Amino acid sequence: MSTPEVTLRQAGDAFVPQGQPVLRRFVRDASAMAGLSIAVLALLAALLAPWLATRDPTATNFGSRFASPSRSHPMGTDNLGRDEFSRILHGARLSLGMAVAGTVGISVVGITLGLVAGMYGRLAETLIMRVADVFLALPTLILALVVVGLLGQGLRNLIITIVLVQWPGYARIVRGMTLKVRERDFVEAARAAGTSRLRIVARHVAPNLVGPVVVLSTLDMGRVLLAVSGLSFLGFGISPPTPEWGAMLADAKIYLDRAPQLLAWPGLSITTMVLAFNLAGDGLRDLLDPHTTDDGPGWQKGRRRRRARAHLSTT
Amino acid sequence: MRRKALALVMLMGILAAACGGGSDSKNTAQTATTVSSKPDPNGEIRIAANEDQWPVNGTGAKATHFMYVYNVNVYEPLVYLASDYTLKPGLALRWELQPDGKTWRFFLRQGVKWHDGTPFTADDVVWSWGPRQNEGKTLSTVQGTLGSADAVKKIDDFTVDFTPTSPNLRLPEQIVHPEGAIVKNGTHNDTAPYSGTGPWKFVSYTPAQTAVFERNDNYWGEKPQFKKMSIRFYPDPQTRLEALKSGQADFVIDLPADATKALAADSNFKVVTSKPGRNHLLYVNKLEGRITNEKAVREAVAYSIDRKAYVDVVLDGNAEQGRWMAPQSVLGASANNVAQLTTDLARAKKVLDDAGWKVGSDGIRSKGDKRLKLILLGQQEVPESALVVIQSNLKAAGIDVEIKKTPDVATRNALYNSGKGDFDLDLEPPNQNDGNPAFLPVLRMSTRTATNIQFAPNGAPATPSGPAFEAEVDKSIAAKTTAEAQAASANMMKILSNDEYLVINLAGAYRIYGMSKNVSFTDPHPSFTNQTWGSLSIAAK
Amino acid sequence: MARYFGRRLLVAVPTLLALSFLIFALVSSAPGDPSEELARRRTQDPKPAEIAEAKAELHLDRPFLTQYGLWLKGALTGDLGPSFAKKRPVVDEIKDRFGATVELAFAALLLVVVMAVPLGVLGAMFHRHWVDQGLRVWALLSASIPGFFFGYLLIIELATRLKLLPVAGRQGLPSLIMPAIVVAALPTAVISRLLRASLLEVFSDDYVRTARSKGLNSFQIVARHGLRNAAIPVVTYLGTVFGGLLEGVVITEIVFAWPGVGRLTVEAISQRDYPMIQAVVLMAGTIYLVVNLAVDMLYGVLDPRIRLEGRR
Repeated sequence: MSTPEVTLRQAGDAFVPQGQPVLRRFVRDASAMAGLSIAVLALLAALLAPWLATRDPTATNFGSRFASPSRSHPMGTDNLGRDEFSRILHGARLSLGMAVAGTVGISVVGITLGLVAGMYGRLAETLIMRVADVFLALPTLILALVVVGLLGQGLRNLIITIVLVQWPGYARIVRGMTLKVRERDFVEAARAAGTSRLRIVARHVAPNLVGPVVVLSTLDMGRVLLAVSGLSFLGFGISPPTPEWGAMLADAKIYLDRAPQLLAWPGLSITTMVLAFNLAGDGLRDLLDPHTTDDGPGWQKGRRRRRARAHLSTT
Repeated sequence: MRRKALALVMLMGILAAACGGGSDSKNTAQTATTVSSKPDPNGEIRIAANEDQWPVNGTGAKATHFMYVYNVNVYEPLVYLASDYTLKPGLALRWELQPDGKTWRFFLRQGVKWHDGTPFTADDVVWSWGPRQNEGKTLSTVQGTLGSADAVKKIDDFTVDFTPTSPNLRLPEQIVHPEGAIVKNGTHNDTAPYSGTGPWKFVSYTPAQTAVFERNDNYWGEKPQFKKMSIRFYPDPQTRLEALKSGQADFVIDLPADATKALAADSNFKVVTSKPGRNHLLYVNKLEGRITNEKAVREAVAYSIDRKAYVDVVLDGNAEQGRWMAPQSVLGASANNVAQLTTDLARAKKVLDDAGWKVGSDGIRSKGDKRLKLILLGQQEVPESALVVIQSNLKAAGIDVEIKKTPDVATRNALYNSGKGDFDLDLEPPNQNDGNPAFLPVLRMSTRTATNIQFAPNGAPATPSGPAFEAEVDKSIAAKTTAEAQAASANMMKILSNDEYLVINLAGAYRIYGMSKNVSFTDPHPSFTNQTWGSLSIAAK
Repeated sequence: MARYFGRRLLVAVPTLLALSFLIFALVSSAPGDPSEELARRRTQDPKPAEIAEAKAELHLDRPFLTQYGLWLKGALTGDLGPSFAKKRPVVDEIKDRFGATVELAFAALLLVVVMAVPLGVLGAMFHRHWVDQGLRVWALLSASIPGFFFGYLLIIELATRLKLLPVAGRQGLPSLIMPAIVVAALPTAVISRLLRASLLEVFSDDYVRTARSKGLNSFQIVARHGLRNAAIPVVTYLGTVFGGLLEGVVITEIVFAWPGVGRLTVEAISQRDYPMIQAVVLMAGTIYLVVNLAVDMLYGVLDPRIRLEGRR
C-alpha cells in the first residue's frame, strides 16, 4: 500500500540527524520537559516501587474495603482492602515495564530486519517488505487480539504479540533510513574500498540510526502502553493478583457506582503516562527535525506526519 | 508554553473530579416493600437481561436447542420445577411408573391450545421427545433421560408412555429441564413462528438486542399480570444496573452483588433475592502426581477457607456460606446429613504439620524440596476477588497459591481432558437446573458420566477411595421415592465435601433481581432456567 | 491515471491473498483440536465418530494447503463455515452484527467530519491564540486517553449522573451518541490538527498572500483556497484514520455493550471460535485494504504528482 509507504519514507527523510546543538531548545520547550519529567519520574517510581510503596500491593484486608483516601492509604483501598497507592505503583512496574520491553523488542526486531532489507540485496528486501505489507494490512489491535488470544494469556505472550504486530512499521522506517545513509558519499566510498557490509553497517549505518530510533521509541512507548493496557483490559493480560493498570481498570468496572475512584486511578495513570510519552516524544523529535524552527507553532510541517503516524493507530 | 502545561494540569484535575466522589455506602439492604398500587394488567415490563443466549437456526450440522429463560414461558415442559424444588404439573397433569418398572405414563392436560389456536395433544409430546431429534436437533436431555428417540409412545390423545432404554426412576425430575419443553408437532422451538403453549407469546426478536413477548390471554394456567414483556440484552452487569437506575429498565436480571445494598437503600428501587441457587464450588484435583492427591493437603484447604469472608467480599453478603453442592431444597430432609465446614486454621495447620509439611522462612510450607504450592484455575467469568480471597486464605495456613485464569472454555477443557490437568484447584459456579437430586454430583463426579475424571472419588485408579460414592450413585438411580434419592445424593455430597474434601463449598449465592418500586416480584427461583414470571407485576404509573 | 489505479489494484490483490493466508495459518496453528472442540459443543461427551464427523466438516482431515484452498473458496462464495459458539453459519452471525458496527462507524465518521473541519479551521485562524492552544491540549488528551477509560468517564457523567443518555446497548439514536464520541475522539483530534497545520502552510503560500492583499478576509481565503489545497495531506492519513476507527470500534463495543462485529471478534477469540475468528479478521483486513485503496485513488485524483510516480 502506498499510503503508509509515502508517509514513512518522508518520515525517514526527516529523521536524518542534523547534529546542530539544539538541546537548549528542548529544555525551553515546557511541555516536552514536563512530559520527559513525568516519564522519567514514573519510570523511576516504577523501578523503586518496592521501596516507595507503603504496603504490600497484594496484601488483602477484608475489614477495610473501599476505604477513602487517608494518611495510611493515600489513594484509599480497593474491593479487597488492598492499598490502591501501592497497587498503582507496582502496576507501573508491569505496565511501564511491558511498554518498555515491548518497545525495545520492536526496535530490535524492526532495526535488524530493516537493516537486512536495506543492506542485503533484493531477495531479502522483497521478502521482508512483502511480509511487512501483509502485517500492515491489518489494524494492529485486531491482529494483536488474535495473536494473544491464540497464544494465551500472560506477560511473555503479551510482549511477543506487541512485537509481532508492530515490527513492520519500524522495519520500514529503518530500511528507508538505511537506503538514505547508503547513498551518502562516505558509505559509497567505504563500499568502493571493499569494506565488508557488516562493517559498513556497524561503522556507518547503525550509528546514524540511533537518534531517530530513540525518538521513534519514545513516541511509541505511549502507543505500546495503550495497546498493552487495552489487551489487558480485555482480559488477555496477567493473572491476578499482580497489579497492572489495564487489568485494574477492568476489575474496577463493576464498582463503577460504588467506587468510581478505583476506575479513575489506573485510568488516569495510563492517560498521564501516554500523554507524557507523547509530549516527550514530540520534543525529542524536534531536536532531530530539520524542519522545525525555534519559534514555530506547535504542529508544523515535519511534525504533523509523524504525529499522525504515531497517534492514529492507538486505541 | 507554561499556559499549555497549566491547562493540561487543569484538565487532568477535571477528569479526576469527574470520577471521584464515590464512597462506600453505609446503608444496609432493605427487604422489598410491598407495592401500594394495584398491578396494571395492561402494563409493560422492560427487563434488562444478560447476554443474548438464544442460538438460532441449525448450521446444517446438529444444533442444540435454544435454552433460555423464556423457554419455560413460551414453550412448557410436561412437569415444572417449583422454586422449592418440588415437581408441579405442567402440560402433564400427573405421571406414574408402570408395573414393568421402566415405563412412565404421563396423563396430559386437556383443552390446552397452542398460540396459533390449534389444540395440544399427545402427538406434540411424541414429536418433541422423538422424531424431532432426527431432524438435526439433538436434545442432550433426551439422550441422557431416555437413551433413544423411539422411547415415547402415544397411548391416546392425552396419554403418552416414556420407556427409556434402561429403567430411569428419576425421569419426571429430569424432564423439568426447559430443553425438554414441548413444541408443536412438526415444528421446532428455534424457528419462527415460535408457537408454544406457555403464558407468553413471542412477538419479535433482534439478535443481541431485544426479545419482545406478549401475554397469552388463552393460557391454561394463571395468566401473567401484565401485558407486554420486552427484554433487552446487556451483557455487562454494570450497564444492566445503570439501565435500571436511569429508568430504561423496570426489572434487572442478575444484578451485580456489589450493587444490591446501595440499590435497596434507594427508595425508588427494590431488590429481591432467591434462595441460594448458584453454588460456588472449589473442585480439588486428586490425580496422582498432584500435591492435592494427598488427603491432608485437601483437608487443610477445606479448613483454611474463610467462607464468611468469601460471602462478604465476593458476593457482598448476597449468599449463604457454602455447605451443599446444589440448592438445599433439592436434598429435602436429607440436607442436614451434610455437615457445614467452618474455618479452623489451627486444624489446617496441624494436619499439615502432621503430614510433614514444615513452614519455611517465607511462611510457605514445604516437605523435603517440595514446596506447598497449588495452582488455582479460574475461568474468565470468575471474579478476581474470588480467586484472591482463596489465595489469601490458604496463605494463612502456609499454602502458596498461583492463580491461573483460563481465557476460555476450550483451554479449560483441554486441561481437564488431558487426564493430567496441570492444576490443583478449580473454581466454578455451577447450576442445578434439574429436579433430580443427584444431578450435579453424578454429572461432575461419577466415573460413569464425568469427563472431568480428576475430581471423581473413584476416578484415579491408583488411589481408590473405595466404592462408597458409586454405591450411592446406584442408590440414587434405583431410588423409588424422591426422598430416597435425596438421601443418596446427600451421602454423595457428604463423601465429596466432608470426607474426601474433593469439593469445597464456598458459598450458595442468591439470584439477585433489581426492580423499580412499582414492580412486584415474589417468586424468584434458585435455578434461573426454571424461572417463570407469574409472580411478576407492575403497578400503574 | 488508469495505469496508476491498475498498479494499485495489482498490489492489493496479492496482499489480500497473503493476508488471508496469514490469518488462516495463524488460527490453524492455535493449540488444541478444533474438531473435538466443535463436537464437544454439540454433545457433552462426543464419541470418536462424532469427532471424526466434525473433523470432516471442518476439512481438518485434509492436507493444510487443501484446507486453506477450501476455506478460501468458501470465503469467495460466502461460506465461512459453522460458528462453534453460535451454532449457525459464521456468515449469518456476522450479517446480524454488521449493521450495528456500520452504524457506529458512520456515526463516528460523521462526528469526525463535523468536528474536525471546523476545529482545524479554527485552530489555523486563531493560530497561536489561546483558542489554538486549547485545541492543542484537547487534541493531546484525546490522543492519550484510552478509549475504555474515556468510555466509562462518559457513562459516569452523562448516563449515571446526569441521566442524559442511555448507559449502553443499542436502542436508537441516543444510545449511539456516547460510543460514537469515544470512537471519534482520536481521529477528530488528529485530523483537525493535520488540517490546521496544512492550512497554515497554505496561508503562507504566495497566492494566498496575494488574495489577502486583495482584501479577502481569512474566512474567505479558507473557503476559496485553503480547504481544497489543505485537503491533500489530510487525505493521505484517511486510511490510517480508518484503521484507528476499526480498532476503536472493538474496545468501544465492549464498553458500551454494542452488539457489533467488534464485540463478536472479542467473543470469538475468548471462546476460541476458530471459523468466526478467521472470518471477522479476514473481513477487517479486507475492509481496511479496500478503504486504503480508495484513499490512494482519492489521493491520486487530488494530487497529480502521485499519478506520475506510478508511471516510473
